[in-house]
Amino acid sequence: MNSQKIKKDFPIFQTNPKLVYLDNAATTQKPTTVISAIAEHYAYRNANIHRGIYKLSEEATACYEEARTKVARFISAPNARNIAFTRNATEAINLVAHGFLKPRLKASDEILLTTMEHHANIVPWHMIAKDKKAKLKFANITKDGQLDEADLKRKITGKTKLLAFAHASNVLGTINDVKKITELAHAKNIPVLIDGAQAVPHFPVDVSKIGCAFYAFSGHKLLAPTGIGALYISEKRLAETGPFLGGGDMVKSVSEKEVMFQDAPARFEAGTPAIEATIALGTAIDYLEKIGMKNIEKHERELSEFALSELRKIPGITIYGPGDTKKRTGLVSFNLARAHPHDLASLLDEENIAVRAGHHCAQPLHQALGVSATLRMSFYIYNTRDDIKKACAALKRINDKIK
Amino acid sequence: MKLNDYRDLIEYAELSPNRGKLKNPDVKASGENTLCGDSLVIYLNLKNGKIIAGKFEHSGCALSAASTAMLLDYARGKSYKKITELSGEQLVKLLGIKVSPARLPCALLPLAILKSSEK
Repeated sequence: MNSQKIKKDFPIFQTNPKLVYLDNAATTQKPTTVISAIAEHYAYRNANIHRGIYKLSEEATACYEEARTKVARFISAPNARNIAFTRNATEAINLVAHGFLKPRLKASDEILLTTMEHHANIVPWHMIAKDKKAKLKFANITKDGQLDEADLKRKITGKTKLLAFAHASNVLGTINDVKKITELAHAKNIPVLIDGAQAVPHFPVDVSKIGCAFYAFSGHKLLAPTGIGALYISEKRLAETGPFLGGGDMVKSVSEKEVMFQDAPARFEAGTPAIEATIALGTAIDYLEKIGMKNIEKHERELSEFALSELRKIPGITIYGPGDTKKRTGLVSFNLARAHPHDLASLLDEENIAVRAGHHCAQPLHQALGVSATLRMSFYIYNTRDDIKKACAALKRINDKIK
Repeated sequence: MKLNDYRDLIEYAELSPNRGKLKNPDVKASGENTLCGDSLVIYLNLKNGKIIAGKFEHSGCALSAASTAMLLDYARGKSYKKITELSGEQLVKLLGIKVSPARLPCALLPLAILKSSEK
């Protein structure tokens, strides 16, 4: 894998030649093929989908549905009908909260989450739990930032109606043993939702092997445009999941008295979707598959190892998450003893180094870590050792000058 | 934010005589910048509507600390009402450095909490 060569496929690095972009866990840059796919859709086949009785609409529909087939293949879903398009992982999780769990949820029922969740996998559950007087429970994390599986096991009760957790943490980088944890829940007949926003872009994901009921991810974190994400729904749960948003395109028939919903996945996609973004998501997947997800995983692990070894040389640094890079994805969060992460991010910005500072939409996790904020560097296919060298050298320089 | 500016801010905030608490404050305003987790308490003593003493307790970034220290320096002897009516631009001007849009909530934290306690 040649990151220098890959970098040339991304116009942002030509328009911003000095940019060191290390905020890929927030969103990734886009290659020319993805940017062109959006323009091509509008230039050659713009029409609404699923209803036009003319060639242009049929072509747009075929391209939109082809993207669904690509997503299904990319995450090893059995069939394209198991994929519902959403705006992002957040909307996918909300779809499950409102379309699947809320109608089943009763007072004093429990939803089991973990302390390392992103707000996207906490807030939707808070909202329906409040409505139904149900409870949220959180499985703890261990000292080195891994999921405390024994604690999770203890917190599964007869009242647990759903287990929802991240495949990979957006702060700790921890990769959870999704198959093992899913089996644990299945032994008690509890459906499982996995937030794969920080996993699907970074290593091969096989939802059939994992066996979960629901799997959510965002397109913009894997080279695709913003405004497009996907939800995998297992065959077993497909018929049990009702619509979330109502509107056109998701109904078989509407009368003044009643509504007949479409079959899945059409009943989850109300209104005109982001057609061009969906097609461009397919293009992004093509691009990633050409590089190979195993190669991407290896590349990010090498960068993480290098970043960890460079960062450990800085006096007064605290690094969060597992020490073993096999257990973590391509990101590192840390704090320096003498400076606030927001100040550090501003200082790095002066050197055109883009990192993330704050609670990264994971406040319960930061409360557990005992800090209000951390600084995060996150990597992707176009990042090189040189990017990391520049960032770490800048951090060292800053750290030396603020003694 | 340049490294030299940052060092000036840190020094200004750390050496500020305004750090600490007032025993019997006439105004006690507190608040947080939820974006980055800064927390701040401002204590004021007033006489005839004028600020005669001000102290602050702070944990968080250099920008919000320095901005608070500076605002309290500026506020001494001035009308409390006038201080709460300061604009964000005026406070940034007092700070004397360029503040990027993402950092404005840090720089304006002391003013924001004084304004909200006033209501």
